[in-house]
Amino acid sequence: MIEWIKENSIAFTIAVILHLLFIGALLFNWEYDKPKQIVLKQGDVIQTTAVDANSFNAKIEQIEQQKKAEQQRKAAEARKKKALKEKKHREELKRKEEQKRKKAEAARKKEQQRKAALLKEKKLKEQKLKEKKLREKKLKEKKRKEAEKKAAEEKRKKEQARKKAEAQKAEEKKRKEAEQKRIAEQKRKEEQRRKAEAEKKRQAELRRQQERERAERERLSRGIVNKYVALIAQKIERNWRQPLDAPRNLQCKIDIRLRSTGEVVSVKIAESSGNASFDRSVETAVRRASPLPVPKDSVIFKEFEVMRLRFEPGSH
Amino acid sequence: MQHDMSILSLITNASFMVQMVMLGLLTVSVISWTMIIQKWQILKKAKQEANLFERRFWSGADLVDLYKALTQRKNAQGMASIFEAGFREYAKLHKQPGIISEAVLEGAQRAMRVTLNREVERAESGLPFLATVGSTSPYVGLFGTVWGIMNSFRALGQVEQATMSMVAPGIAEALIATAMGLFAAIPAVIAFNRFSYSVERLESRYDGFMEEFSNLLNRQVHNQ
Repeated sequence: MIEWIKENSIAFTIAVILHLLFIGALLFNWEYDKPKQIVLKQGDVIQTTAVDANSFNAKIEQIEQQKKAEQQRKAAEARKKKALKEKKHREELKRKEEQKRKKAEAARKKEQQRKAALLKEKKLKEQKLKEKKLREKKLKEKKRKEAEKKAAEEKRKKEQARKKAEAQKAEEKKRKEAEQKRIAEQKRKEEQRRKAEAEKKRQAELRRQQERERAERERLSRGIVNKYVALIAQKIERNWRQPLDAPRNLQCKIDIRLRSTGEVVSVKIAESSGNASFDRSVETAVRRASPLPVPKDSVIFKEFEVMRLRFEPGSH
Repeated sequence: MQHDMSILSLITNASFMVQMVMLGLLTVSVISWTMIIQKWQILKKAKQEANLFERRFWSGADLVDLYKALTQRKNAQGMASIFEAGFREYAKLHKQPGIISEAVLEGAQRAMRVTLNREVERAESGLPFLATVGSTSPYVGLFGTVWGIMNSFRALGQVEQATMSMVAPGIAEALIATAMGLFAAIPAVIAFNRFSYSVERLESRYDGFMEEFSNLLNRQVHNQ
Protein backbone atom coordinates (compact mmCIF):
# COMPACT_ATOMS: atom_id res chain seq x y z
CA MET A 1 0.00 0.00 0.00
CA ILE A 2 2.63 2.54 1.09
CA GLU A 3 4.89 1.36 -1.69
CA TRP A 4 2.12 1.78 -4.16
CA ILE A 5 1.67 5.36 -2.95
CA LYS A 6 5.41 5.96 -3.21
CA GLU A 7 5.37 4.67 -6.75
CA ASN A 8 2.61 7.07 -7.66
CA SER A 9 3.71 9.98 -5.54
CA ILE A 10 2.74 12.61 -8.09
CA ALA A 11 -0.77 11.28 -8.51
CA PHE A 12 -1.10 10.93 -4.74
CA THR A 13 0.01 14.52 -4.16
CA ILE A 14 -2.44 15.80 -6.73
CA ALA A 15 -5.24 13.82 -5.10
CA VAL A 16 -4.40 15.13 -1.64
CA ILE A 17 -4.24 18.71 -2.90
CA LEU A 18 -7.60 18.26 -4.60
CA HIS A 19 -9.17 17.11 -1.37
CA LEU A 20 -7.64 19.89 0.65
CA LEU A 21 -8.91 22.44 -1.84
CA PHE A 22 -12.36 20.97 -1.71
CA ILE A 23 -12.45 20.95 2.07
CA GLY A 24 -11.13 24.49 2.23
CA ALA A 25 -13.78 25.69 -0.19
CA LEU A 26 -16.44 23.96 1.87
CA LEU A 27 -15.28 25.49 5.11
CA PHE A 28 -15.22 28.96 3.62
CA ASN A 29 -18.46 28.76 1.72
CA TRP A 30 -20.54 27.13 4.38
CA GLU A 31 -21.42 30.52 5.85
CA TYR A 32 -22.61 31.86 2.50
CA ASP A 33 -24.81 28.88 1.87
CA LYS A 34 -27.19 29.86 4.64
CA PRO A 35 -30.78 30.20 3.50
CA LYS A 36 -31.63 33.81 2.87
CA GLN A 37 -34.82 35.42 3.92
CA ILE A 38 -36.87 37.06 1.23
CA VAL A 39 -38.24 40.50 2.01
CA LEU A 40 -40.93 42.08 -0.09
CA LYS A 41 -40.91 45.87 -0.09
CA GLN A 42 -44.05 47.85 -0.49
CA GLY A 43 -42.36 50.35 -2.75
CA ASP A 44 -41.83 47.71 -5.39
CA VAL A 45 -45.34 48.16 -6.73
CA ILE A 46 -45.88 50.72 -9.52
CA GLN A 47 -49.05 52.70 -9.42
CA THR A 48 -50.88 53.16 -12.73
CA THR A 49 -54.12 54.70 -13.95
CA ALA A 50 -56.04 53.93 -17.11
CA VAL A 51 -56.26 56.77 -19.73
CA ASP A 52 -58.71 57.32 -22.57
CA ALA A 53 -56.90 57.44 -25.94
CA ASN A 54 -58.92 60.40 -27.33
CA SER A 55 -58.47 62.55 -24.34
CA PHE A 56 -54.85 61.58 -24.32
CA ASN A 57 -54.37 62.79 -27.93
CA ALA A 58 -56.25 66.00 -27.20
CA LYS A 59 -54.04 66.59 -24.26
CA ILE A 60 -50.94 66.07 -26.31
CA GLU A 61 -52.16 68.60 -28.89
CA GLN A 62 -52.94 71.05 -26.19
CA ILE A 63 -49.51 70.62 -24.73
CA GLU A 64 -47.90 71.20 -28.10
CA GLN A 65 -49.87 74.36 -28.68
CA GLN A 66 -48.87 75.57 -25.30
CA LYS A 67 -45.30 74.89 -26.16
CA LYS A 68 -45.53 76.88 -29.40
CA ALA A 69 -47.11 79.86 -27.66
CA GLU A 70 -44.42 79.71 -25.05
CA GLN A 71 -41.73 79.81 -27.73
CA GLN A 72 -43.24 82.84 -29.42
CA ARG A 73 -43.53 84.63 -26.13
CA LYS A 74 -39.93 83.92 -25.40
CA ALA A 75 -38.74 85.26 -28.78
CA ALA A 76 -40.63 88.56 -28.27
CA GLU A 77 -39.17 88.93 -24.84
CA ALA A 78 -35.68 88.38 -26.17
CA ARG A 79 -36.16 91.14 -28.80
CA LYS A 80 -37.38 93.58 -26.17
CA LYS A 81 -34.46 92.83 -23.95
CA LYS A 82 -32.02 93.51 -26.75
CA ALA A 83 -33.50 96.95 -27.51
CA LEU A 84 -33.40 97.88 -23.86
CA LYS A 85 -29.80 96.89 -23.59
CA GLU A 86 -28.74 99.09 -26.52
CA LYS A 87 -30.47 102.07 -25.04
CA LYS A 88 -28.77 101.58 -21.76
CA HIS A 89 -25.42 101.34 -23.44
CA ARG A 90 -25.86 104.67 -25.23
CA GLU A 91 -26.86 106.44 -22.03
CA GLU A 92 -23.89 105.02 -20.25
CA LEU A 93 -21.54 106.49 -22.88
CA LYS A 94 -23.05 109.94 -22.55
CA ARG A 95 -22.79 109.86 -18.78
CA LYS A 96 -19.15 108.95 -18.94
CA GLU A 97 -18.23 111.88 -21.19
CA GLU A 98 -19.97 114.33 -18.87
CA GLN A 99 -18.04 112.97 -15.95
CA LYS A 100 -14.72 113.41 -17.71
CA ARG A 101 -15.44 117.01 -18.46
CA LYS A 102 -16.38 117.78 -14.86
CA LYS A 103 -13.27 116.15 -13.55
CA ALA A 104 -10.98 118.32 -15.65
CA GLU A 105 -12.72 121.51 -14.39
CA ALA A 106 -12.40 120.45 -10.80
CA ALA A 107 -8.68 119.68 -11.18
CA ARG A 108 -7.98 123.16 -12.49
CA LYS A 109 -9.79 124.84 -9.57
CA LYS A 110 -7.99 122.74 -7.02
CA GLU A 111 -4.58 123.76 -8.31
CA GLN A 112 -5.40 127.47 -7.77
CA GLN A 113 -6.64 126.86 -4.25
CA ARG A 114 -3.61 124.85 -3.32
CA LYS A 115 -1.21 127.67 -4.25
CA ALA A 116 -3.11 130.24 -2.10
CA ALA A 117 -3.23 127.88 0.83
CA LEU A 118 0.51 127.25 0.69
CA LEU A 119 1.29 130.95 1.14
CA LYS A 120 -1.05 131.29 4.11
CA GLU A 121 0.36 128.23 5.80
CA LYS A 122 3.87 129.54 5.80
CA LYS A 123 2.88 132.62 7.77
CA LEU A 124 0.89 130.58 10.22
CA LYS A 125 3.74 128.22 10.90
CA GLU A 126 6.09 130.94 12.00
CA GLN A 127 3.59 132.30 14.46
CA LYS A 128 2.89 128.88 15.84
CA LEU A 129 6.52 128.13 16.52
CA LYS A 130 6.80 131.12 18.81
CA GLU A 131 3.70 130.21 20.74
CA LYS A 132 4.85 126.69 21.14
CA LYS A 133 8.08 127.59 22.86
CA LEU A 134 6.24 129.63 25.42
CA ARG A 135 3.75 126.93 26.10
CA GLU A 136 6.40 124.29 26.55
CA LYS A 137 8.08 126.24 29.33
CA LYS A 138 4.82 126.55 31.22
CA LEU A 139 4.04 122.90 30.74
CA LYS A 140 7.30 121.71 32.22
CA GLU A 141 6.70 123.63 35.40
CA LYS A 142 3.25 122.21 35.71
CA LYS A 143 4.40 118.65 35.14
CA ARG A 144 6.95 118.79 37.90
CA LYS A 145 4.32 119.91 40.43
CA GLU A 146 1.92 117.25 39.32
CA ALA A 147 4.47 114.48 39.70
CA GLU A 148 5.13 115.40 43.29
CA LYS A 149 1.48 115.37 44.06
CA LYS A 150 1.00 112.05 42.35
CA ALA A 151 3.72 110.33 44.36
CA ALA A 152 2.08 111.33 47.64
CA GLU A 153 -1.27 110.16 46.42
CA GLU A 154 0.12 106.84 45.32
CA LYS A 155 1.65 106.14 48.67
CA ARG A 156 -1.66 106.75 50.38
CA LYS A 157 -3.47 104.55 47.94
CA LYS A 158 -1.07 101.68 48.44
CA GLU A 159 -1.53 101.75 52.17
CA GLN A 160 -5.26 101.70 51.72
CA ALA A 161 -5.12 98.77 49.30
CA ARG A 162 -3.00 96.71 51.68
CA LYS A 163 -5.47 97.18 54.50
CA LYS A 164 -8.36 96.35 52.26
CA ALA A 165 -6.73 93.15 50.99
CA GLU A 166 -6.09 91.95 54.50
CA ALA A 167 -9.69 92.47 55.48
CA GLN A 168 -10.81 90.67 52.35
CA LYS A 169 -8.58 87.72 53.04
CA ALA A 170 -9.98 87.23 56.50
CA GLU A 171 -13.49 87.36 55.20
CA GLU A 172 -12.71 84.91 52.43
CA LYS A 173 -11.32 82.47 54.93
CA LYS A 174 -14.45 82.64 57.04
CA ARG A 175 -16.69 82.21 54.07
CA LYS A 176 -14.74 79.20 52.87
CA GLU A 177 -14.97 77.46 56.19
CA ALA A 178 -18.72 77.97 56.30
CA GLU A 179 -19.00 76.62 52.78
CA GLN A 180 -17.01 73.53 53.62
CA LYS A 181 -19.16 72.88 56.63
CA ARG A 182 -22.27 73.21 54.54
CA ILE A 183 -20.96 70.83 51.88
CA ALA A 184 -20.00 68.24 54.46
CA GLU A 185 -23.47 68.45 55.95
CA GLN A 186 -25.02 68.03 52.55
CA LYS A 187 -22.83 65.08 51.75
CA ARG A 188 -23.73 63.38 54.96
CA LYS A 189 -27.41 63.84 54.25
CA GLU A 190 -27.01 62.57 50.71
CA GLU A 191 -25.18 59.53 51.96
CA GLN A 192 -27.93 58.79 54.43
CA ARG A 193 -30.59 59.13 51.80
CA ARG A 194 -28.71 56.87 49.46
CA LYS A 195 -28.25 54.25 52.08
CA ALA A 196 -31.92 54.27 52.90
CA GLU A 197 -32.78 53.94 49.26
CA ALA A 198 -30.39 51.06 48.73
CA GLU A 199 -31.81 49.31 51.74
CA LYS A 200 -35.28 49.75 50.40
CA LYS A 201 -34.28 48.45 47.02
CA ARG A 202 -32.52 45.48 48.49
CA GLN A 203 -35.54 44.59 50.50
CA ALA A 204 -37.83 44.92 47.50
CA GLU A 205 -35.48 42.71 45.52
CA LEU A 206 -35.44 40.17 48.33
CA ARG A 207 -39.19 40.18 48.48
CA ARG A 208 -39.48 39.78 44.77
CA GLN A 209 -37.04 36.92 44.76
CA GLN A 210 -38.86 35.20 47.56
CA GLU A 211 -42.05 35.57 45.68
CA ARG A 212 -40.48 34.18 42.58
CA GLU A 213 -39.07 31.25 44.45
CA ARG A 214 -42.39 30.55 46.02
CA ALA A 215 -44.12 30.65 42.66
CA GLU A 216 -41.47 28.39 41.23
CA ARG A 217 -41.87 25.97 44.10
CA GLU A 218 -45.58 26.00 43.71
CA ARG A 219 -45.32 25.40 40.02
CA LEU A 220 -42.93 22.56 40.61
CA SER A 221 -45.04 20.97 43.27
CA ARG A 222 -48.10 21.35 41.04
CA GLY A 223 -46.19 19.55 38.31
CA ILE A 224 -45.18 16.81 40.72
CA VAL A 225 -48.71 16.46 41.99
CA ASN A 226 -50.03 16.14 38.45
CA LYS A 227 -47.40 13.60 37.65
CA TYR A 228 -48.20 11.46 40.63
CA VAL A 229 -51.92 11.70 40.03
CA ALA A 230 -51.30 10.39 36.55
CA LEU A 231 -49.05 7.62 37.87
CA ILE A 232 -51.65 6.58 40.42
CA ALA A 233 -54.39 6.52 37.82
CA GLN A 234 -52.18 4.45 35.55
CA LYS A 235 -51.39 1.93 38.24
CA ILE A 236 -55.03 1.58 39.16
CA GLU A 237 -55.99 1.07 35.56
CA ARG A 238 -53.32 -1.58 35.13
CA ASN A 239 -54.83 -3.47 38.01
CA TRP A 240 -58.40 -3.07 36.84
CA ARG A 241 -60.28 -5.73 34.98
CA GLN A 242 -63.32 -4.97 32.95
CA PRO A 243 -66.38 -6.70 34.48
CA LEU A 244 -68.21 -8.74 31.88
CA ASP A 245 -71.64 -7.39 32.55
CA ALA A 246 -70.71 -3.73 32.61
CA PRO A 247 -71.00 -1.52 29.54
CA ARG A 248 -67.96 0.37 28.34
CA ASN A 249 -67.29 4.09 28.74
CA LEU A 250 -68.32 4.19 32.37
CA GLN A 251 -66.62 6.43 34.85
CA CYS A 252 -66.78 7.07 38.57
CA LYS A 253 -65.12 9.10 41.28
CA ILE A 254 -63.39 7.46 44.20
CA ASP A 255 -62.10 8.73 47.51
CA ILE A 256 -58.82 7.17 48.60
CA ARG A 257 -56.99 7.57 51.87
CA LEU A 258 -53.32 6.80 51.77
CA ARG A 259 -50.46 6.28 54.16
CA SER A 260 -47.22 8.04 53.50
CA THR A 261 -45.82 4.77 52.20
CA GLY A 262 -48.51 4.70 49.54
CA GLU A 263 -50.54 1.90 51.09
CA VAL A 264 -54.26 2.27 50.67
CA VAL A 265 -56.10 2.80 53.96
CA SER A 266 -59.58 2.95 52.58
CA VAL A 267 -61.44 3.23 49.31
CA LYS A 268 -64.91 4.61 48.85
CA ILE A 269 -66.99 5.33 45.82
CA ALA A 270 -67.72 9.03 45.90
CA GLU A 271 -69.74 9.23 42.75
CA SER A 272 -71.11 6.02 41.38
CA SER A 273 -70.94 5.11 37.74
CA GLY A 274 -74.49 3.73 37.94
CA ASN A 275 -73.28 0.17 37.50
CA ALA A 276 -72.66 -1.73 40.71
CA SER A 277 -70.28 -4.30 39.31
CA PHE A 278 -68.17 -1.56 37.68
CA ASP A 279 -67.94 0.27 41.00
CA ARG A 280 -66.93 -2.90 42.73
CA SER A 281 -64.30 -3.67 40.14
CA VAL A 282 -62.80 -0.23 40.61
CA GLU A 283 -62.63 -0.67 44.34
CA THR A 284 -60.92 -4.00 43.92
CA ALA A 285 -58.48 -2.48 41.47
CA VAL A 286 -57.48 0.23 43.93
CA ARG A 287 -56.87 -2.29 46.66
CA ARG A 288 -54.92 -4.47 44.35
CA ALA A 289 -52.82 -1.51 43.18
CA SER A 290 -51.72 -0.77 46.76
CA PRO A 291 -49.09 0.51 47.45
CA LEU A 292 -49.67 3.42 45.12
CA PRO A 293 -46.83 5.63 43.96
CA VAL A 294 -46.69 8.79 46.13
CA PRO A 295 -44.17 11.58 46.35
CA LYS A 296 -41.52 11.29 49.05
CA ASP A 297 -41.74 14.96 49.97
CA SER A 298 -43.99 15.13 53.01
CA VAL A 299 -45.23 18.60 52.14
CA ILE A 300 -46.44 17.50 48.76
CA PHE A 301 -47.73 14.24 50.15
CA LYS A 302 -50.33 16.18 52.14
CA GLU A 303 -52.20 16.58 48.90
CA PHE A 304 -52.44 12.82 48.63
CA GLU A 305 -53.48 11.89 52.13
CA VAL A 306 -57.12 12.11 51.22
CA MET A 307 -57.64 12.34 47.53
CA ARG A 308 -60.50 12.18 45.15
CA LEU A 309 -59.75 10.55 41.85
CA ARG A 310 -61.82 10.27 38.73
CA PHE A 311 -61.52 6.80 37.27
CA GLU A 312 -62.12 6.57 33.59
CA PRO A 313 -60.69 3.50 31.85
CA GLY A 314 -58.89 4.19 28.61
CA SER A 315 -58.00 7.76 29.47
CA HIS A 316 -54.42 6.86 30.34
CA MET B 1 -29.30 26.31 23.38
CA GLN B 2 -27.53 27.74 20.35
CA HIS B 3 -25.28 25.37 18.49
CA ASP B 4 -22.33 26.28 16.39
CA MET B 5 -23.37 24.81 13.08
CA SER B 6 -20.16 25.31 11.12
CA ILE B 7 -19.04 22.22 9.27
CA LEU B 8 -15.82 21.93 11.22
CA SER B 9 -17.51 21.91 14.60
CA LEU B 10 -20.06 19.42 13.32
CA ILE B 11 -17.25 17.05 12.39
CA THR B 12 -15.29 17.51 15.59
CA ASN B 13 -18.40 17.06 17.73
CA ALA B 14 -19.50 13.88 16.00
CA SER B 15 -19.40 10.61 17.87
CA PHE B 16 -16.33 8.42 17.61
CA MET B 17 -17.93 5.89 15.30
CA VAL B 18 -19.09 8.54 12.87
CA GLN B 19 -15.67 10.14 12.94
CA MET B 20 -14.05 6.81 12.13
CA VAL B 21 -16.41 6.33 9.21
CA MET B 22 -15.61 9.82 7.94
CA LEU B 23 -11.89 9.23 8.26
CA GLY B 24 -12.15 5.95 6.39
CA LEU B 25 -14.16 7.53 3.63
CA LEU B 26 -11.67 10.37 3.31
CA THR B 27 -8.79 7.92 3.00
CA VAL B 28 -10.64 5.86 0.43
CA SER B 29 -11.45 8.99 -1.51
CA VAL B 30 -7.80 10.08 -1.57
CA ILE B 31 -6.67 6.64 -2.72
CA SER B 32 -9.30 6.41 -5.40
CA TRP B 33 -8.35 9.83 -6.71
CA THR B 34 -4.71 8.78 -6.78
CA MET B 35 -5.71 5.73 -8.76
CA ILE B 36 -7.85 7.76 -11.10
CA ILE B 37 -5.00 10.11 -11.90
CA GLN B 38 -2.47 7.32 -12.31
CA LYS B 39 -4.77 5.21 -14.49
CA TRP B 40 -5.62 8.16 -16.62
CA GLN B 41 -1.94 8.83 -17.25
CA ILE B 42 -1.18 5.18 -18.02
CA LEU B 43 -4.08 4.71 -20.41
CA LYS B 44 -3.30 7.93 -22.21
CA LYS B 45 0.30 6.88 -22.64
CA ALA B 46 -0.69 3.41 -23.85
CA LYS B 47 -2.97 4.93 -26.44
CA GLN B 48 -0.26 7.26 -27.69
CA GLU B 49 2.28 4.47 -27.88
CA ALA B 50 -0.13 2.25 -29.77
CA ASN B 51 -0.68 5.03 -32.29
CA LEU B 52 3.04 5.57 -32.67
CA PHE B 53 3.82 1.89 -33.06
CA GLU B 54 1.08 1.29 -35.60
CA ARG B 55 2.41 4.13 -37.70
CA ARG B 56 5.91 2.69 -37.57
CA PHE B 57 4.74 -0.82 -38.24
CA TRP B 58 2.71 0.04 -41.32
CA SER B 59 5.30 2.48 -42.70
CA GLY B 60 6.81 -0.44 -44.59
CA ALA B 61 10.03 -0.67 -42.63
CA ASP B 62 11.79 -4.00 -42.38
CA LEU B 63 10.35 -6.10 -39.57
CA VAL B 64 13.78 -7.34 -38.53
CA ASP B 65 15.04 -3.80 -38.14
CA LEU B 66 11.99 -2.90 -36.14
CA TYR B 67 12.49 -5.89 -33.91
CA LYS B 68 16.13 -5.03 -33.32
CA ALA B 69 15.31 -1.45 -32.48
CA LEU B 70 12.67 -2.62 -30.02
CA THR B 71 14.89 -5.15 -28.27
CA GLN B 72 17.56 -2.54 -27.83
CA ARG B 73 15.12 -0.22 -26.17
CA LYS B 74 14.16 -2.23 -23.15
CA ASN B 75 10.75 -2.64 -21.47
CA ALA B 76 8.59 -2.35 -24.56
CA GLN B 77 4.95 -1.94 -23.68
CA GLY B 78 1.58 -2.51 -25.25
CA MET B 79 1.52 -3.25 -28.92
CA ALA B 80 5.29 -3.15 -29.16
CA SER B 81 5.69 -5.90 -26.61
CA ILE B 82 3.14 -8.06 -28.40
CA PHE B 83 5.03 -7.64 -31.62
CA GLU B 84 8.31 -8.39 -29.91
CA ALA B 85 7.04 -11.58 -28.31
CA GLY B 86 5.47 -12.81 -31.52
CA PHE B 87 8.46 -12.06 -33.66
CA ARG B 88 10.93 -13.58 -31.21
CA GLU B 89 8.98 -16.80 -31.11
CA TYR B 90 8.64 -16.84 -34.87
CA ALA B 91 12.37 -16.29 -35.39
CA LYS B 92 13.26 -18.97 -32.85
CA LEU B 93 10.94 -21.58 -34.32
CA HIS B 94 11.79 -20.67 -37.86
CA LYS B 95 15.44 -21.49 -37.29
CA GLN B 96 14.65 -25.02 -36.12
CA PRO B 97 15.04 -27.51 -38.92
CA GLY B 98 12.20 -29.70 -40.05
CA ILE B 99 9.45 -27.83 -38.35
CA ILE B 100 6.16 -27.41 -40.15
CA SER B 101 4.89 -23.97 -40.88
CA GLU B 102 1.62 -24.43 -38.95
CA ALA B 103 3.56 -25.11 -35.78
CA VAL B 104 5.65 -21.97 -36.31
CA LEU B 105 2.57 -19.84 -36.75
CA GLU B 106 0.79 -21.37 -33.82
CA GLY B 107 3.75 -20.87 -31.51
CA ALA B 108 4.06 -17.24 -32.48
CA GLN B 109 0.35 -16.71 -31.97
CA ARG B 110 0.41 -18.32 -28.56
CA ALA B 111 3.29 -16.16 -27.44
CA MET B 112 1.44 -13.09 -28.61
CA ARG B 113 -1.77 -14.14 -26.86
CA VAL B 114 0.08 -14.50 -23.58
CA THR B 115 1.66 -11.09 -23.89
CA LEU B 116 -1.66 -9.56 -24.83
CA ASN B 117 -3.29 -11.01 -21.74
CA ARG B 118 -0.52 -9.66 -19.59
CA GLU B 119 -0.80 -6.21 -21.11
CA VAL B 120 -4.55 -6.09 -20.68
CA GLU B 121 -4.23 -7.19 -17.12
CA ARG B 122 -1.76 -4.41 -16.46
CA ALA B 123 -4.12 -1.85 -17.95
CA GLU B 124 -7.01 -3.22 -15.94
CA SER B 125 -5.21 -3.23 -12.59
CA GLY B 126 -6.87 -0.98 -10.02
CA LEU B 127 -10.20 -0.89 -11.79
CA PRO B 128 -11.77 -3.37 -9.35
CA PHE B 129 -10.78 -1.08 -6.53
CA LEU B 130 -12.58 1.84 -8.17
CA ALA B 131 -15.64 -0.34 -8.71
CA THR B 132 -15.63 -1.36 -5.07
CA VAL B 133 -15.30 2.21 -3.85
CA GLY B 134 -18.05 3.32 -6.18
CA SER B 135 -20.48 0.71 -5.02
CA THR B 136 -19.74 0.45 -1.30
CA SER B 137 -18.77 3.89 -0.04
CA PRO B 138 -22.37 5.21 -0.16
CA TYR B 139 -23.32 2.33 2.11
CA VAL B 140 -20.46 3.06 4.46
CA GLY B 141 -21.51 6.68 4.61
CA LEU B 142 -25.09 5.61 5.20
CA PHE B 143 -23.94 3.40 8.02
CA GLY B 144 -22.26 6.38 9.67
CA THR B 145 -25.42 8.41 9.25
CA VAL B 146 -27.66 5.73 10.69
CA TRP B 147 -25.33 5.29 13.61
CA GLY B 148 -25.21 9.05 14.29
CA ILE B 149 -28.98 9.42 14.09
CA MET B 150 -29.43 6.40 16.32
CA ASN B 151 -27.20 7.96 18.94
CA SER B 152 -28.88 11.30 18.78
CA PHE B 153 -32.29 9.68 19.22
CA ARG B 154 -31.03 7.65 22.12
CA ALA B 155 -29.84 10.82 23.82
CA LEU B 156 -33.20 12.36 23.00
CA GLY B 157 -35.06 9.64 24.82
CA GLN B 158 -33.54 10.70 28.10
CA VAL B 159 -34.96 14.20 28.11
CA GLU B 160 -38.61 14.99 28.67
CA GLN B 161 -39.01 17.91 26.34
CA ALA B 162 -37.32 17.50 23.02
CA THR B 163 -36.68 20.59 20.97
CA MET B 164 -35.59 20.97 17.38
CA SER B 165 -32.24 22.39 18.49
CA MET B 166 -31.47 19.16 20.32
CA VAL B 167 -32.20 16.91 17.38
CA ALA B 168 -30.87 18.96 14.50
CA PRO B 169 -27.09 19.04 15.18
CA GLY B 170 -26.89 15.29 15.65
CA ILE B 171 -28.69 14.61 12.40
CA ALA B 172 -26.69 17.22 10.54
CA GLU B 173 -23.40 15.76 11.66
CA ALA B 174 -24.60 12.29 10.82
CA LEU B 175 -25.62 13.37 7.35
CA ILE B 176 -22.10 14.61 6.67
CA ALA B 177 -21.06 10.97 6.59
CA THR B 178 -23.49 10.25 3.76
CA ALA B 179 -22.27 13.30 1.91
CA MET B 180 -18.71 12.08 2.19
CA GLY B 181 -19.67 8.62 1.00
CA LEU B 182 -21.28 10.09 -2.09
CA PHE B 183 -18.31 12.37 -2.58
CA ALA B 184 -16.02 9.35 -2.68
CA ALA B 185 -18.35 7.21 -4.77
CA ILE B 186 -19.34 9.50 -7.62
CA PRO B 187 -15.87 10.11 -9.13
CA ALA B 188 -14.98 6.47 -8.62
CA VAL B 189 -18.02 5.27 -10.56
CA ILE B 190 -17.45 7.77 -13.36
CA ALA B 191 -13.77 6.86 -13.61
CA PHE B 192 -14.52 3.16 -13.52
CA ASN B 193 -16.95 3.37 -16.42
CA ARG B 194 -14.67 5.58 -18.44
CA PHE B 195 -11.56 3.46 -17.85
CA SER B 196 -13.19 0.12 -18.49
CA TYR B 197 -14.36 1.48 -21.81
CA SER B 198 -10.83 2.66 -22.62
CA VAL B 199 -9.32 -0.68 -21.64
CA GLU B 200 -11.81 -2.50 -23.79
CA ARG B 201 -10.97 -0.40 -26.77
CA LEU B 202 -7.27 -0.87 -26.16
CA GLU B 203 -7.76 -4.62 -25.96
CA SER B 204 -9.67 -4.76 -29.22
CA ARG B 205 -6.94 -2.74 -30.88
CA TYR B 206 -4.27 -5.13 -29.58
CA ASP B 207 -6.36 -8.02 -30.75
CA GLY B 208 -6.74 -6.57 -34.20
CA PHE B 209 -3.05 -5.90 -34.44
CA MET B 210 -2.28 -9.47 -33.39
CA GLU B 211 -4.49 -10.87 -36.10
CA GLU B 212 -2.95 -8.67 -38.74
CA PHE B 213 0.55 -9.53 -37.66
CA SER B 214 -0.30 -13.26 -37.73
CA ASN B 215 -1.57 -12.79 -41.24
CA LEU B 216 1.70 -11.18 -42.18
CA LEU B 217 3.71 -14.01 -40.70
CA ASN B 218 1.47 -16.54 -42.39
CA ARG B 219 2.14 -14.93 -45.72
CA GLN B 220 5.86 -14.93 -45.07
CA VAL B 221 5.91 -18.62 -44.08
CA HIS B 222 3.99 -19.73 -47.11
CA ASN B 223 5.96 -17.59 -49.54
CA GLN B 224 9.17 -19.37 -48.79
